[in-house]
Amino acid sequence: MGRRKSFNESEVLNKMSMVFIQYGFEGTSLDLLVNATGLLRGSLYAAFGSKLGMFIAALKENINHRKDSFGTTYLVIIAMMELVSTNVEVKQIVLNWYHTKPQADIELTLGRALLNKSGLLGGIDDGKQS
Amino acid sequence: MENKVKINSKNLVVIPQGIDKLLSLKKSLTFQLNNVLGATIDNEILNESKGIKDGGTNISGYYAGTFIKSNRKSFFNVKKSSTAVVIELTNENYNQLVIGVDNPRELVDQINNLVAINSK
Repeated sequence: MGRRKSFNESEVLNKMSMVFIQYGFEGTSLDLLVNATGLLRGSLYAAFGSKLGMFIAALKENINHRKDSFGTTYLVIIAMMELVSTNVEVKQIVLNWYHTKPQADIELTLGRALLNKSGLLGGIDDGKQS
Repeated sequence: MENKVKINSKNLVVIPQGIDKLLSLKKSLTFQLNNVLGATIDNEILNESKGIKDGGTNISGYYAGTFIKSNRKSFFNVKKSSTAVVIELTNENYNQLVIGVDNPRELVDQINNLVAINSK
């Protein structure tokens, strides 16, 4: 957004990513993001414009810096479930992510992440996807 | 009655309902679409301190008028029972609008898609 930021953006985005991964987009309230980041509500809005702006920044940060982590795939899944059908920017980001890998890999990546997140098979979520 | 919001190719126009006579506010507030940074459904903002009232009312369960907090100027016109939509602005008289509308989800989606298109 080109605003002055008086905080470590990468650190803030990591904290926000954890909240979105735990609660999903709709389930994440501003209060949760305020508590997780320790920033004022007004500072978050000024820096990111909206809760969607916060999610998009978190999604981009993960795709750019932790492309193959479970965290990134979880955020992509949340985007697919909740936002791709309603927001053009999220749709474009997820499409770009999709086109970086062969389709079979995508399906495997999404499936593994989902199984891991569910805890169904008793796996340990170590944040790595290999 | 909830606020009316109209969006045309250049502007976002908020037509407050119910308080204009009480506060002698303008009949509508117009903001350039380019200055709109995003919209969020955020009911919990009504539980926070709204800051210092600069004209307006704070009768039980109804927040209307201008409030200033941490150097940010907000326009409120929302009932506690409404779904609060926060619209973040830049280069305008207000930093944010906190308003109740009839179709909050549709409005939020519409604004955020316009923001996405405008920022390209």
